Amino acid sequence: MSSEVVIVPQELEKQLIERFRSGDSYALATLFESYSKRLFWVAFNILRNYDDALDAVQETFIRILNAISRFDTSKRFYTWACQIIINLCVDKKRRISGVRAAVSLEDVGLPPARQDPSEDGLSQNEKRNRVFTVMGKMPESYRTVLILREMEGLGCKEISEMLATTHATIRWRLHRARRLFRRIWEKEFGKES
Amino acid sequence: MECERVRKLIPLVSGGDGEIEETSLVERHISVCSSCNTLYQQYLSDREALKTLSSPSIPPSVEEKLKNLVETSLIQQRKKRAPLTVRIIRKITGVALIVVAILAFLFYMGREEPLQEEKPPEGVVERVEYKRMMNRAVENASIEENEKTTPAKREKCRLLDSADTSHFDF
Repeated sequence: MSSEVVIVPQELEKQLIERFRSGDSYALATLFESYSKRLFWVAFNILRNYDDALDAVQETFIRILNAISRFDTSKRFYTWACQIIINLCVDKKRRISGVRAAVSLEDVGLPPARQDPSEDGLSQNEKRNRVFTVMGKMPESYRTVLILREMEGLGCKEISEMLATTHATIRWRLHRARRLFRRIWEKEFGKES
Repeated sequence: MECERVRKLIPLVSGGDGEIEETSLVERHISVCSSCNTLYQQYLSDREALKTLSSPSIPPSVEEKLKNLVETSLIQQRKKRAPLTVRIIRKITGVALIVVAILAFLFYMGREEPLQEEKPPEGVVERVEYKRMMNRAVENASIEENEKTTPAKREKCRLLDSADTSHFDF
């Protein structure tokens, strides 16, 4: 298991894409391998199911391969891939809505997080499980903005471009999402935790 | 009054998404208001908690599946994608076919139509033929009295006399 986040330099991204366009079919393997875990993780946090998340990653790769000739290399590859997978997950989530119940991290068998000492007495693992539970109780639109902002570290502008909406809408959604996150956390685990 | 306004701004400002004026207002206020400061700290701890999910921790079995998935996607695409030379040949063939089709169309539109003899409709032919036959019959009938009447003409008159003319409208 590895948890490092790999970022491929933009220049290398451009070179690999150009090589693929000129006929080197395996040029994109480096990019796919670098970003597959992050993409899977984003999909998993939205869909909360292993198989669905894996399907979404594969579908994303296929869409990327089909549309790479139209990709503007002045933009970041990961942002584009993330946009594709978010849209796929949102569509998928709508289709399977209500079919699958929300699961906990233990249910899906994810490995435990690093056991760092925590100021509030909660282990990282416990904290992560709680976050996962709270996120599962949030509406999909709020969960998506929180994932992109807090987990992926994207700015409001990037998120608004990715979700094809305005900057003000994203700010409003983030505001509501953080308030809702706090409310559910307090309801589930108490105000002090 | 200011507490109410600041509490509305805290979710955005704590996440670093507030405007400059909003951020400075909140920072100034929480330095003097302990209850708003507590709320601000709670939102900060929420952000910290959310970050625990930021690094993907994926079981080895899923990692293996992801690797396979990268390979299968690329192999599928490679099968679908013809080599560069084949793609160029296909493009050239396509363009050539389009040019040939355009030339054929222009040639067809530009050629002269051959003049065709107009044939009268079938009913008209019958009427013309009938009129000619009647004229000859009248001529032959009058020949009977003539001294110069040939045996052939007499025979024609005899045939006309014996013919069934009931269906003719005289």
